[in-house]
Amino acid sequence: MPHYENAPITEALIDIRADLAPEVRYEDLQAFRQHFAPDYPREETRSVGEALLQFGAAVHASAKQTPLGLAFWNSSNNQVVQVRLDGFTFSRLHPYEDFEHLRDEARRLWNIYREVVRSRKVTRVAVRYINQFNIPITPGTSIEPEDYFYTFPQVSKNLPTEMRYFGPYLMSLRLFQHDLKGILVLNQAMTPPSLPETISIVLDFDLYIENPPVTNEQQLWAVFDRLRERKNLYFEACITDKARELIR
Amino acid sequence: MPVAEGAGRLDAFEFPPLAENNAVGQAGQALWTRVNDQLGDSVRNSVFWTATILLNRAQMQLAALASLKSNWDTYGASAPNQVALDNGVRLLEHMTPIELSVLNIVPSAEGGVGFCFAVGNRYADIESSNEGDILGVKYVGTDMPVLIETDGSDASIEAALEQVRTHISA
Repeated sequence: MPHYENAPITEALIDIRADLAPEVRYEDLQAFRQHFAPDYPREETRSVGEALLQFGAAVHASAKQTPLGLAFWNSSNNQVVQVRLDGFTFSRLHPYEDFEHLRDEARRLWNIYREVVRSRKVTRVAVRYINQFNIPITPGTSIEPEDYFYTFPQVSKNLPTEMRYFGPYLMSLRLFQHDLKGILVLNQAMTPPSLPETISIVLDFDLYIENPPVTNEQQLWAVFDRLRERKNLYFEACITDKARELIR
Repeated sequence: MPVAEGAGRLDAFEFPPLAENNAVGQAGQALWTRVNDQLGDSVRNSVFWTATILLNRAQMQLAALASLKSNWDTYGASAPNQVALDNGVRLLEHMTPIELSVLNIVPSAEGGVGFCFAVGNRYADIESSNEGDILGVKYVGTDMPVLIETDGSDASIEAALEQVRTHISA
């Protein structure tokens, strides 16, 4: 894969789901604080929440939340490790370094995780790269997604012309990886722009394998290398030369 | 199939686009549930997607305050004006998921917008006033609040939020 000076990777992550010893409880995750604090001093509770907005004489929001796990951030706010009762995720945010840094730090943290929660079996592994393309646009004009992407939502040409100008969208495809016995989740979405006079389109590759056939750590980490190679192939297959110009 | 300029403006849409379901039939319900489940699964382990959705929710809370009228509290409070709302947008642009995940946005009785953060008994508030001031406080339980000052510049807003971040994640 060519090296891109302005790689669009806004988040790269390695995700491992595992069966833990049955006696492990949510409260036990607090033990990670002492292990991670030197490098990841900021702690956040991750929750599955449902926000509810109420309109009226007074406007206020309330939220019903269930704790899911803990996230620990480094002091530069560009690396995050999440620990949950169903697994572990390590994320590298912008600016991305390279896969070797991602993998090595994930492996170091995973070793702590599996020791502390006594993981018994890896049930799912994933490599995920979320790319954010900021496509310049002149006010009052439009862009054609097919100029930048080979994978994008198609709208019927039989619809009225004025309907061809479309707005926010989210496309999610699940593509089977027969040889890997895994699945590629390809998400593409327009998100709020991070730069003025741009349109932001996110291309998200989430490759995972359920119940990977691994019996030791060496095999486990070899799977991630393979998933990463595959991700590179898919990325290159989905973008056009015009998109490459944006990130060179 | 063109994407029009402005389609991705911060105030132009709610993300994710499929947020509500008005279908009552089995197929519509099943599709909505499935898409939401898949979306939830996609969002769950990603800091980027979580941040995008949290930011969008906060933007919508802030946008909802624009429709308030004076005397919204029945005690004569001014509604947040455009200055307070614009500074509110600037504050949101500097926030990370650490603050966004514990943020509640409320109108201020003094005129403006309040950004309230709470984790356990650790609290912080930053107020964007109708006069253009951005000031905050942080405190623990019933302790004396400590002032968080800004001069309105991006650098001082970032420094203020850094104080909040450190305070609520201590």
